[in-house]
Amino acid sequence: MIKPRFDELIHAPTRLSLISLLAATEWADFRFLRDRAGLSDSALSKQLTTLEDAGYIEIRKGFVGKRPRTSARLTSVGRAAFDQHVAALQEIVAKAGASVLPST
Amino acid sequence: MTDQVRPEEAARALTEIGQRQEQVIRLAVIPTWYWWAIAVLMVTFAAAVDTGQGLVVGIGTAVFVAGVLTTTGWVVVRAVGRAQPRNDLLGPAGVAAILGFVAVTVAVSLTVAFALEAFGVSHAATIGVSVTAVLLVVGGPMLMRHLQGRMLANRSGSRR
Repeated sequence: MIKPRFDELIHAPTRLSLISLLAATEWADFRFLRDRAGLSDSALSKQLTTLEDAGYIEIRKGFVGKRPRTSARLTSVGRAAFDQHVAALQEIVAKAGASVLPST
Repeated sequence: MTDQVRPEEAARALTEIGQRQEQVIRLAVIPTWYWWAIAVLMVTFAAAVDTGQGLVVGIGTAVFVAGVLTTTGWVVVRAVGRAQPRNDLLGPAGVAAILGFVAVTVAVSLTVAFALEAFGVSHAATIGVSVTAVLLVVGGPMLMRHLQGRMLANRSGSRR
């Protein structure tokens, strides 16, 4: 049973999108996240750094051939925080009744 | 803070979460053309083997190996450049579906091939592999749709 806990860091729209993408992945490429979230390189780097500082994600830098490749993954702490945040959102919606149920 | 979030906003956030995860899952599928490519390569290889001519078998083998490596490599590289969906999204039922698909494909292929050979049918390998190819072309995309459905059901925040 996941204990609901609203997380302001995660709830910010851009970070919510990023964390949601990462929550479905083992890891995700920097360009994939940038393109999906519609962010510039610098904006994405800033958001990823914020999430990394919170211990929510792990950033991996490496090379594929001679090309640098950066990827990110959710840590166990980040996954737990995300699950709790989702539970908190569901709780808010549930308390308000079925009229605002999301179309997931 | 929770008290400050209106239900409509929470619902929108849950929708956003669901849609973002769906984006990852939708990309995780082996494309339909891949199943066709593997099927054609398999039949070509079997037909080459059925000729019994060394040169043709050699060329058929080279084409098969090169084709499988190229197509599979392309699919893998494309996946590596994006994102790898969480393994546990498949769940036990998804894993069972994959194993079941492989088992049925192998069982049907071997049964047909041995039966054709027992009855002395010519080009038994080609015909047997053609059956396998049909299974791949028809069953592969069906399996992908099934697995997508399982992953969508298992994502965070989905209503189970």
